[in-house]
Amino acid sequence: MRLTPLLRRSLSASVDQKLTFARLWAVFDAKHQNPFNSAELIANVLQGKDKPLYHYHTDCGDHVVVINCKDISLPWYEWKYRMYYHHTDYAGGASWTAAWEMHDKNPTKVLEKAVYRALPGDLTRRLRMSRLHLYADDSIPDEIKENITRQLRQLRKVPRKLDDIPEDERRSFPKLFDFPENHTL
Amino acid sequence: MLWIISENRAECSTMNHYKPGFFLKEGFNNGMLQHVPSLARLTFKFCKSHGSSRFMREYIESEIMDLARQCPTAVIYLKPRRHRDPVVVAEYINGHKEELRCNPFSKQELIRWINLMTTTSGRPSNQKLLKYSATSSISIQGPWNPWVYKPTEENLEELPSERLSAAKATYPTATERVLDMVKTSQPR
Repeated sequence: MRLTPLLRRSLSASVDQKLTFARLWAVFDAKHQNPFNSAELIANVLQGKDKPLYHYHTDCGDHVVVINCKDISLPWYEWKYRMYYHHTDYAGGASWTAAWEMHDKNPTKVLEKAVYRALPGDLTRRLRMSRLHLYADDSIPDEIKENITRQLRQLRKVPRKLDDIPEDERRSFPKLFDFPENHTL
Repeated sequence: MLWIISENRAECSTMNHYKPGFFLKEGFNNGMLQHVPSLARLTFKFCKSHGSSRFMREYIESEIMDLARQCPTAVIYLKPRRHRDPVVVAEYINGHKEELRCNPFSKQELIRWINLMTTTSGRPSNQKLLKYSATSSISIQGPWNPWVYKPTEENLEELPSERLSAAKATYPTATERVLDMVKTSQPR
């Protein structure tokens, strides 16, 4: 077969097609992030909604690797008051598990359920969930880590704890006011 | 307006599967710089003696010369067919062919129908247009891919990276504002 300009154009078109629909692996650091807000971001990436070529019939979602799931941060008293319901189908088999209890048993479960809920409830839901890789800490298996080409930006700033701030930086912080002499701390 | 129909016809996605849709091969650019008449051929089939072709015969006697002057680029055929109903067949340069049986039409109705057939773009009325834009030229910048507009210094970053992960601050924090005020104020 002779390599005509038309053939060359069609060959490059097929390469362009594969490049356009390339499935990326994104990494998201869940440290000190609200899992329910993060789940919306992750669900959009899993669906491919952040791509200009998104179409609901096109399977164009990316993989998402989430690290530090054990360090998620729930607002208000939600660790105590957010309940996960389960029923064993036997009489009296209903159970409610608080979020902190669920998190103690499995530190990736709260985020997994949040993402599952954020995804549309159609037949593609399980397929998209299979592209979500959750890890409790920041260690990622090598076969997963070698695929990662994209970093998702966190939604909230991670606050620095007092212990993380070095001693000299703490000392050099300007003194803004003095307590009065009769002030009792 | 010129409508050029592509060969590959896609099916409708949701309803009306019996009604095929089609894509434009060219955009709506007929008449922008130049106008290409869309009608190629107009054929009148009629009977010279039967009553059903009465108004068609009247039309041919009085109006057909004006029609030929109006559309100099179209070929007009007259096909006398014994004891057949009157039919007008319009063929367009995009390949579409429209047949219209004219038995119940009076002469005035015939004038209006033929005016429609001569002035229309030749778009098939029984098909759904799936996309209203089309181009004949290849895109210069090429199709999008995930690395378009991505800053190249991110390629050197080892992932997961703290710098790319940190949330972007919309406004300075109270601590940063205090430090900034101290820095800009006069030393005592």
